[in-house]
Amino acid sequence: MKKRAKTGIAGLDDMLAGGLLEGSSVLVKGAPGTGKTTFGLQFLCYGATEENEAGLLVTFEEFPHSLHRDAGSLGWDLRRLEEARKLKVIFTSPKVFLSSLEAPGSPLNRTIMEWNIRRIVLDSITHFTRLTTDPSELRSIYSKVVNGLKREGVTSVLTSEGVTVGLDAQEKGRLSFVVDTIVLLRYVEIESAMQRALLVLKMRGSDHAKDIRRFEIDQGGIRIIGRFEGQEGLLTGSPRRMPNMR
Amino acid sequence: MESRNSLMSDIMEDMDPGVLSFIRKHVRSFPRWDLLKFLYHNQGTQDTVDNLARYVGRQIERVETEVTLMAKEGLLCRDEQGSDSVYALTQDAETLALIGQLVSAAQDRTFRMKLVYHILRAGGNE
Repeated sequence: MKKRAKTGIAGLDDMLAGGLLEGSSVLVKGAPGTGKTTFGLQFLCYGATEENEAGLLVTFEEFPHSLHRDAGSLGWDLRRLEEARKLKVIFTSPKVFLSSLEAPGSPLNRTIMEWNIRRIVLDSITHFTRLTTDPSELRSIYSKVVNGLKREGVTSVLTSEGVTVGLDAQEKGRLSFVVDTIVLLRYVEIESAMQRALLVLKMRGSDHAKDIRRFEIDQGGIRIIGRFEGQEGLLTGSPRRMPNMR
Repeated sequence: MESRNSLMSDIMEDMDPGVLSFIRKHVRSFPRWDLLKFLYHNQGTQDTVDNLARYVGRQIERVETEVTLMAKEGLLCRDEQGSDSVYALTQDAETLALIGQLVSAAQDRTFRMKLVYHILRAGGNE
C-alpha cells in the first residue's frame, strides 16, 4: 500500500485514489487566477494542521507579505503556522533556489532537515525559464529541481503558468514529462458565466479519476463541487451541450 | 549645529530608548530603511543584492554598500552560494524585536517624520 499525502482539497483526494503519492512531484498547471497558489497553500496548511507535516512554500514572485494577506482571506493564518514551525515561507529567486538545493549546507537544506519538511510548494516553476533559453538546459534544470526534492523525500507541488491541455512534446523544457502527476486548472465558459474546472491529467503509479470536475474557491480554499453534466469540449474553454442533452 | 542637535534630541526624546539607540546606530540612510522594512515584512526572503535592489526599487550599487555593512552590523545573515552572496534578515530574536518595534512605530506619521529628519541629518539622502 503506497503512502498518500492528502491535499485537504474536498473531493480531490477521492479523485487521486486517496491523495498524492508521498515523495512524488506534482505539477499544477493553469492560467493566472485559476487557483494554483491556493492549491499549494491548501496542501501545505492541511499538512501542517491535520497531518502534522511541516511544509515549505518557496515563492519567486509574490511577496510573503501579500501571501500572508491572501491566505488570511481564505482562513489560513500563516503567521501562526510559522511560529509553530509547521510552515516556512521563503522568498527567493530561481537561481538562488537552485544553488541552495545543490549545496548540502545551504540554509534551504538546513531548513528542510531541521524543520523536518515533508511538503514543498514552488510557486511558480515557470520562473525557471528566466535562467536559460536553451530547452535542453531547461529540462536539465527541471530534472535537478524535481530530483533534488525527491532526494529529500518531500512531496512537492510545482505550480506552472500555462494553458496547454495535454502532454505537449513541444513544451519548452518538457516539464510535464519530468513530474509524476499533473493537475490542470482551467476556466470554462458555460452559458455566459465563467466556471473553474479541474482535471487530473496524469498520475504515475496510481489510478485516478479521468473526468473533469467543477470547483470553487471560497473560505477554506478549493472545493470540488461535482461534474459538468451534459457538457462536452470543456477543455477548449468554450464547451457545448451534448446533443442528447438538448 | 548645536541648536539642530538640540532640536533633534528634543523631538526624539519621547522614543523608546532601545528603538532610539537602534535608529542612531543602524538607520542611517533611506535605502537601508527600505531594506529593513522590506525584509521585516517579508521575512523568509533570501536573495542576492541585485534582486534585493529590485524589490526595494533602489540602485544596485547603493544597496550593495548597505547590505555589506548591515551584514557586518549583524542585521543581515550572509551566505555564499556558488558565485553569489545571498542575504537574509537576521534570526536574532532581540534584533528582530527591535526592528519590529521600529517598523510598527513608523506607521505613525509623527514618528515617521522624526525618522526622516534623523536620516536626513545623518546624510542618508544621497
